[in-house]
Amino acid sequence: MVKRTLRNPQAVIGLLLILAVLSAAALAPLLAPHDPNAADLTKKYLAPCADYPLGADELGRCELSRLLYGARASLGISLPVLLILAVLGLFLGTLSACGGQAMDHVLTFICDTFIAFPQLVIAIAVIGILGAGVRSVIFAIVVAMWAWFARMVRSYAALEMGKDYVLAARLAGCGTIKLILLHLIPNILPQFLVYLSTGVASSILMVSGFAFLGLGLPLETAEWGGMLSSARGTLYSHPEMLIYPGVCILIAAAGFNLFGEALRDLLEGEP
Amino acid sequence: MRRYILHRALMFVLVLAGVSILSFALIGLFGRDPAEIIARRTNIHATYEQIEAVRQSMGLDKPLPVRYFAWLSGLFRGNVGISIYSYEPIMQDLGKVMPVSLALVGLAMAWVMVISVPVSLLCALRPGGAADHLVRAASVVGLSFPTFWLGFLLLIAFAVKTPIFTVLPAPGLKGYILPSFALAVPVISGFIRVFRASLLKEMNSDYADYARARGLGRGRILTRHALRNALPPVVTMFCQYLGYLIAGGAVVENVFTLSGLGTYLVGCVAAADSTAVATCAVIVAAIFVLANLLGDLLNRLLCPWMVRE
Repeated sequence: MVKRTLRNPQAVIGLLLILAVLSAAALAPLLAPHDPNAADLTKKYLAPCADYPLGADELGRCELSRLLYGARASLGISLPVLLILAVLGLFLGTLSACGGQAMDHVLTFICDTFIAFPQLVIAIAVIGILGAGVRSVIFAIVVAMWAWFARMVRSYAALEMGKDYVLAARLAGCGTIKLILLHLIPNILPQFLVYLSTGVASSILMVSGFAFLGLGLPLETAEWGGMLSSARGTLYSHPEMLIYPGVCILIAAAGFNLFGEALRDLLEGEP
Repeated sequence: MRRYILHRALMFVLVLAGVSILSFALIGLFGRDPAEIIARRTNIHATYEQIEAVRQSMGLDKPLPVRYFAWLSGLFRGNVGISIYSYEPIMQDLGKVMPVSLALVGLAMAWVMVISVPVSLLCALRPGGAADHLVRAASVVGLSFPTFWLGFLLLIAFAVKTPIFTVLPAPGLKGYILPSFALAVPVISGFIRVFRASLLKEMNSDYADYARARGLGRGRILTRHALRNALPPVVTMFCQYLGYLIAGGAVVENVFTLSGLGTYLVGCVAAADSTAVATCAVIVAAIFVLANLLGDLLNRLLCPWMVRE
C-alpha cells in the first residue's frame, strides 16, 4: 500500500505540499527573518528587498515571517482538531452502528440536529463562551464538525456490520467491544483516513474563515485568514498583500485534499 | 411508503425542536447580557437600574425555558418580536436578508449546473484523457480555495484591474454575479468529482457493455443510458449544498459587503439575541432538511428501482 501510494504522482505532490507546510510551521523561528509581530511604521508597505523578501504589511511587519508563523497557527489548530475528531468520530460512529437500535436512533437524531444547525452560530457562541484563544477555536471547530465525522463512520460501520466476517466473529464468541476494536475499526480505517485527510483541509479553510471574520484568535496573531482581513483595505493600493496569505491557505488545503483524494482513488482501484 | 413519510415528518419536527433548543442553550451560555447591550446602545453609561428596566420591558428577566416557550408560541402566530441586534421586528429583518441569501444561493447553484454537468460528461466521455486529467487536477485545487480569498481575487481582477464590476455591490442581479461565482467554485469542484465517478461507475456496468455490443457509440450510451442512472448521488449532493449554503455564505457576504442571512446571524449571535438566532436557525434547518427530503424524493422519481427500504 505504501509503495503504491508513493508511485501515485498525485499522492506524492500532496505529501510534498503537506511536508512543506509542516516544516514551515516547525521551523518558523529558524526560517523567519524577523519577529512576526515586530511593527515598524517606517517600513509600512515596504517593497520586497533582501532583508524583507516579501515586503512589509500595513504596520511594517515582515510579510514572510508572518506567513511562516501563520502555518503554525493553522496547523496548530487543525491537527489537534483532527485527532479529537478522529477519536470522537470512531467512538460515536461505531457506538451508533453496534450499540442497538435505541442508541442508534438517539445518536442519529443528535447528529442530524447538529448538521442542520448553522455552523457559524455554533462557532461564534462557543468562542464567545470560552473566550478568544487557540483552545476555544479548536473546541469550536470540533463542536461544529463532529456530527459529520460520526455520521460518516456510522455509515461505513453499518455497511461492514452486514458482512460475513462480523457474523463469523460473533459466532466465535467475540464480544461487542472486542468486535469494534479488533475487527470493525481496522476494516473501516482506510476509508476513514481519506475522510480525515480531506477533513484537515476543511478545518484549515474553516480556521482561516473564522479568523477572517475576526473570530477566535487575538487580532495581532499571525494567521492567514486574519492577515487577509487586515489587508482588505489595500485592495487598490497593494493587492499583493491580499494574494500571499491566500496562496498559503490554498497550498495547505490542497496538500491535504490531493493526498486524501489520491488515497481514495487507490483504495477504490479507480483509474 | 406511509412509514417513510411518517418517519421523515417526525424527524423534521424533532430536528427543528432540537435546533431551536440548542440556539437558546448556546446563547444562554454565551455570558453576554442582552439587556446591557440594549441599554448601552442609547447610553454608554447606563446605570444598573436602567439595565434592569430594559430587562423587564423586554421580558429578559424571565428564566430561559419561559422565554423559549414564549418565542415558540410567537413563532406559530408569526410574530417573534423585536431583534436586539437591529431593533426592528425580526420578521421584517428576515424579509430584507432572505432575498439576498436566496439570490446568492440560487445563482451559485445555477453556476454549478451550467459548469459541472457538461464538464463531468466531457470527463466521462474519455476517462484518462488530457481533458479528464486537467479537470481532475483543477477540481482538487477548486476544493481547496478559500471562498473569501477567491472573492478578493475576483474583485482585484474584475473590479480593480478591469472594472467590469464594482467593489461595492451594484443593485440588481449584476451585483450577485461575482459573489455567487466565488461561493460556487468549491461546490462545482466537489460536484464534478462525484458526478464523474458516478458516470464512470455506470459506464463500467453490464448494461453499458451490452449497449456497446449492440453497436451504440460511447457518447450515446453516456447521455441515453448512464446519465440517468448516475444522477442519484449527484442529486443528493446538490440538495445538501442547497441547504448548507443558505447560512454558509457569511464570509462571501462579508467580502462583497452584501447583507444576507449569514451576516445577520453573526450580528444576532454577537448581540446575544436568542430569539432572532433561534428563528434564523429554525428557518435554516427547515430549508436544510426540506432540501434533503427533496433530493430523496427526486431520486425516488428518477430511479425508483434503486430505492432500498
